[in-house]
Amino acid sequence: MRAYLFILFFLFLSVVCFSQTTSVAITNGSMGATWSIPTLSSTITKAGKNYEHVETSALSHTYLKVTSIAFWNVSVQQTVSSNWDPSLKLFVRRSGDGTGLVTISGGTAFLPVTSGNTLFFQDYLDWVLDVKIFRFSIKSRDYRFCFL
Amino acid sequence: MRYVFTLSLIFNCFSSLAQTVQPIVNVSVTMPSVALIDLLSTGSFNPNLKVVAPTEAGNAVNTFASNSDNWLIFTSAVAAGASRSIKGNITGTLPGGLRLRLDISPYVGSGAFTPGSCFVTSNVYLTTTPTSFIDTIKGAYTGINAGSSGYKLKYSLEVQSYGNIRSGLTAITVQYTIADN
Repeated sequence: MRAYLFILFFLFLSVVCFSQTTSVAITNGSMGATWSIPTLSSTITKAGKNYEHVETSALSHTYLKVTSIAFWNVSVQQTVSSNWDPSLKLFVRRSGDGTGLVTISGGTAFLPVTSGNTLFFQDYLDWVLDVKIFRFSIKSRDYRFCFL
Repeated sequence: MRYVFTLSLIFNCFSSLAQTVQPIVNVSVTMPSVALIDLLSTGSFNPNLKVVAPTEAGNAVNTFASNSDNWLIFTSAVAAGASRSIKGNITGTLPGGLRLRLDISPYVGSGAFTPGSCFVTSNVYLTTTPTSFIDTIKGAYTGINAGSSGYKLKYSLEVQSYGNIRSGLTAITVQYTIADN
């Protein structure tokens, strides 16, 4: 029980704006834009069993702040940087509507994060320049307990 | 036709202004090492192997019972590049002239393994010295259903030295260990 695996990858949020974007920023408070799980919330205690639980971040783990006008969307993709086993699946969802004068759609159900760029949520009607704050959470799921 | 042209012009305008920015969230998970091993049984955890005496003078004791009630199961997760093996040994003393053979069947079940791992290396004769019989274990779980998950174990006795066989009852314990290579 002395060996440990350390897994790391980057979650890219692509914000595409069909108008002039003033700024896009992503934070989660004092920790920066990071979700670190140093200890799993549950461990296997019976021989022969697989992991059956999920790791879920806080509901308001990360904030995305977009300063823009209409016709923008947010896509998500992962880029593995170190030792991320494909049996670990990552999901993301938008856990709130944020603030500001904006109508957004999509992203409220957990979306699998893959190496491909996938549409997360979008705004397509508002023409008001404003500051928007969004929240989302990240969910990790272990389908097979197989690590290289 | 004029409307179509105007609409097209608007979208061309948007396209020319489109820009992409990519803020990043770093996600990391520290997975613990796991090494768990256990036995399941479809009958008894204490198999009784009985040597049957001949019924006719001059014949050898050549009929031996075997037992295949027990199944070996495990869960393993290792660091990158590491692997484990499973070893078996006995505690106690085998009856004189006999040796205890362990046959390990190939894995069955709906578990999962790191591809190319968890090989049954050989059937073994169990002694007091631990002997490996499943090797290159990396990430794996076998399942937990007796009779349909894991590696079926078959115990049998063989005559090693006929002249040393003595009558009587002997009890020994077989111990299994999963350990880092």
